[in-house]
Amino acid sequence: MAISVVVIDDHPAITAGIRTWYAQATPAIEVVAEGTTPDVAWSPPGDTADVVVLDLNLDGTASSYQHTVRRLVDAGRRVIVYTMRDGQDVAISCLDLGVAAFVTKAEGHEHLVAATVAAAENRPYLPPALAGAIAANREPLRPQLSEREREVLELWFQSESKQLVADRMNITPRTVGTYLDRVRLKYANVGRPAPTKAALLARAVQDGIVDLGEL
Amino acid sequence: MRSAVYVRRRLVAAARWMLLAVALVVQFGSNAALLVGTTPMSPVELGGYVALGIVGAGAAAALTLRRSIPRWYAAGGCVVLLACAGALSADLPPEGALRAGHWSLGLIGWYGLVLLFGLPPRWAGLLLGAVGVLYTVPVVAENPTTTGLANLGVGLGSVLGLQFAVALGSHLLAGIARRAQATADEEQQVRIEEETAAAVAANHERRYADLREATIPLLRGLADGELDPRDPVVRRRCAVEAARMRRLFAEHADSGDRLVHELGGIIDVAERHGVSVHLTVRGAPTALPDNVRAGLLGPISEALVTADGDAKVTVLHAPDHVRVAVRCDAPGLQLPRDGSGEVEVVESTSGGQLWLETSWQSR
Repeated sequence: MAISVVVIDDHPAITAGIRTWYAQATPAIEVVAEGTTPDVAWSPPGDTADVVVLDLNLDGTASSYQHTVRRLVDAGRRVIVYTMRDGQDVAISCLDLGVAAFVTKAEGHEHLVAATVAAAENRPYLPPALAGAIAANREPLRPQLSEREREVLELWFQSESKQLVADRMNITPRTVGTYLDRVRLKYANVGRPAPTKAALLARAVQDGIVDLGEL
Repeated sequence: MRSAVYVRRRLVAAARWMLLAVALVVQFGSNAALLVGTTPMSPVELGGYVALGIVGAGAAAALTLRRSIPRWYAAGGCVVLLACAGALSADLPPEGALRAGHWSLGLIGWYGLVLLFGLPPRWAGLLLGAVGVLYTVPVVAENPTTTGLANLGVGLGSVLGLQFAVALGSHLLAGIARRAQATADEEQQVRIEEETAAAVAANHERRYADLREATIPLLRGLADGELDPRDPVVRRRCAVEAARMRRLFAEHADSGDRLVHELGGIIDVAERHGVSVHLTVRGAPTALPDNVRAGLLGPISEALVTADGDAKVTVLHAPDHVRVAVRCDAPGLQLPRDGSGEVEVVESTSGGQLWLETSWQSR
């Protein structure tokens, strides 16, 4: 069955673009509803969509986006924030709220597609701009990363290519992915509790990326 | 800023040297003359004189070599001063009036001021008070006359009172010097901020003017139908202008980042060559030495001006290092690149893509 998505964005061109990218993706992704306000995610057919793709620039105020994101996440919805806003503080605060992924509109569409597939399966995905935000995060309560994890994170932020990171570090692209997953999971394991974070961690244990003792 | 610090240090050092000079002149000038010219010295007097001389010489050596007196030396010196005060006052005949035998009273106070310079004046007050008590006790113990006590009070009051007033004065002087430095620093900071803001504003204005020259005709052409969006040249122009505008809008947030500011200039040049550059900056900017900034940007600049098509530039300010990287289509011509000084340059080409990184470890 296709992954269902509800898209909330106030630019019709963006919504149209997202539809096109999803239509070409494998596995199939279907936009079941779209709109310019979060209401579309709360009413049929958007209320049962697997993934919510949310633009933050709906009215430009920080408090309202936090409220919108928190409400969706607390209801167990898997939210991908897809935004023009490039600030790392926004990215880190969205992670803390419990979004599945934070993708900037400047990043390639393949990251949005990959993040959507991962979110639908409760699997971690760490797009490059978010990796950069984590690498530069200096908050006192941030999760501690190993030297190797930090290096992978920074090279992925720069190169946007797991193959290039793998070549540079003499590891396989698969190992690069594992490092990124582990960093993402460390962030799911701190801060405010959210059902999406729990689902992400549960799936990671099931997939053997981390074991229960590490959490 | 350096000059303000310099002036403050000079002022404070001069004041301390002045106090020490007074003490040394008293000990090796007037007191020496006095002691040589009068009765033979008792062993206690001789010992006290030598001990005080050593304290003074040590302070002079510390000020000459280290420009400050270590805390441990000041504390130890005060103990020696008090011990001398106790021993020398006990050695005197218990009569009230100050006389030649009280030579040590003023000297101990002056050394005390040198040792306690820079501390709150209550410490000098405490030391001088203790010295006063040590000189009073032997006299009081022998049931003195009222006149004798009054004489002693007048004598101690004038010597120690003068010294305490000097201690207060030097404390005030240090305070004034500190405030002068703070004011000079603030003024300097304000001037720097004003100049930076003016430079940033001028740069923005120039680039908004560039937008008027390049972007508006492009949009007008598209609206009038003169330019065809299917034309690859038009599409490239759109990509370049869009990247330029994005950067201009984003820049307000990081105008304090000189590295990114200079990088902006390099990207400008690349865009004039038709390269569409996307810049992502992460982390809080830190101050970088000029040569490091140049070392980080040099290779990036070379790569960008020879690039073709799209380029992605990233800047990462991590707590202990800075990394700048560019990813773009690999140019046909490969130039050898070396790191300059402390900047490390790593370059790899894969699948027709060049990935060049410069980095610097701050510690």
